[in-house]
Amino acid sequence: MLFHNPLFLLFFLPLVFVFYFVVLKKKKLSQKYLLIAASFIFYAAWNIKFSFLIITTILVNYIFGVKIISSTNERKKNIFLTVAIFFNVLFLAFFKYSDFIIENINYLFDLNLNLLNLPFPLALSFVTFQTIAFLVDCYDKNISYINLRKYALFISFFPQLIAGPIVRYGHMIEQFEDNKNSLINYKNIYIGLIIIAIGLMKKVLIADNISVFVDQGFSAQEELSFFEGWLTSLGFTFQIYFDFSGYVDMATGIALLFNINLPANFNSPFKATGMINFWQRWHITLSNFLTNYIYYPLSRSFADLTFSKSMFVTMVVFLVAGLWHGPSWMFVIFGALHGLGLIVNHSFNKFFLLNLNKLFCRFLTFNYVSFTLIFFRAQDLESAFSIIKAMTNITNFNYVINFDIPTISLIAFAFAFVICFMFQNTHYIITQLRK
Amino acid sequence: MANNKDIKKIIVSISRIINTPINKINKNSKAEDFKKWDSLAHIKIILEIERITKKRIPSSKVADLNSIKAISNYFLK
Repeated sequence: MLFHNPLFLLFFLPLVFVFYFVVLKKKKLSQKYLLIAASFIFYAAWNIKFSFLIITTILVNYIFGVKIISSTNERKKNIFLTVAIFFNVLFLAFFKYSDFIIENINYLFDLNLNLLNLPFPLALSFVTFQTIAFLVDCYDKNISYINLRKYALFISFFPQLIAGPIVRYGHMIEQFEDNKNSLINYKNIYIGLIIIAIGLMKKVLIADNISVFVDQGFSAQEELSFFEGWLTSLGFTFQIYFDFSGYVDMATGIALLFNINLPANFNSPFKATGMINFWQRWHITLSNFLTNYIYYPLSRSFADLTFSKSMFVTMVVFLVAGLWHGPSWMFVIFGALHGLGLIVNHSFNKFFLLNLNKLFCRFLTFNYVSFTLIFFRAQDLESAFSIIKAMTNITNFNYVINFDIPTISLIAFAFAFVICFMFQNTHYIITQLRK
Repeated sequence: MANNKDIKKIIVSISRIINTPINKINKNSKAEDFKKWDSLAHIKIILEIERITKKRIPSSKVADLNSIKAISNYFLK
């Protein structure tokens, strides 16, 4: 069950809402149990077997959390944290990357090991990062007490379970425990519904319509023309942004119905004037996680942090980020290209004192991001290069567009362009509506 | 624990790291106000703060110390 599914929007969500604010009015504890139950039903509707995996990770990490908090011995605490992080990474690796690892072992050593063909449990990537942040928070004494109910709700809260944003324990529990948040808030409902509508339109009207010709471009058997190459690449750039940010908008709006504020995850990323700026605007909560829990600890592990060492760390972080997106070398290449973009940006800031035109910087950043996304979406290198070849083939200029593009898709594409560069984003709209 | 003198030293260090005149940094300054206060500068600022205050900052707090106010509150609380 996904947010744009009519079953969710017209049945599940209204039912949970009515139970939460009407049937269980002023029964704060029961309201929390209802949210946990609703979250598990939401997850189980996709695959009931995998809900046991989420339950397992919740139970195991709850125990780790309690152990870390209650340990007075620093060494023991350290061991618990290390084992817990190791467990979570292995858990994710087993379900998400085992076939990828086997394929690479087979290739490297010329073996023929059987693939496990495990289906990947939805949400596990987000849950893993959120859990690691929680464990570190326990270790750093930002969390002094936990109970299973609070922890289960923190991990499973259905608006942000599947695709984030990645949230911190303190940020969420503070809101869940606030008495006034258990009462109906008409302003939040009003804002929440507007944000859900915006997210739904971004996903259904724009992203899904653009995907019609993007899919044709990425699955083209014949050579693409110049315009087809650009249409495919730019189309996917807008498609992924409107798809993901639309889904996050819906998550934000749904959470707001229950008086829970989720952190902003996108802030007009295509208005970024450089790659550093881009990652301050794109998938912000992932970027924060990578910075806090990988970039900073790795950087601090160097006794003398020089510019080149910090650039090395940047590349490592983005290789991890790339692989986190999925078990494919194409995602690793995507991550490496972003790492490279950041290194160039940092180097430029450090060694050149030029002040480039803002519009030019924006143009350059957008096109570089668009270029990296070709590798994100393409099945293999061959497919990625065929699109790049078409986009750069000006000697044998072929302007024909053989795609079967419905008018609505072209309108969606034009709207996507205008919205991204000329309109304010959802985060801004929420801030304005709150005033 | 840091004191007001340490906070002044921290501001001087921030000014040097982000290559910005000290008179442009005040108690309301935030990382987002300065183009040069990026993730690389931030980690250098954190290492400098740890050196000045002789206190290790937990990983989970590093990102939160992104303004003079946040740094002051963290050390003067």
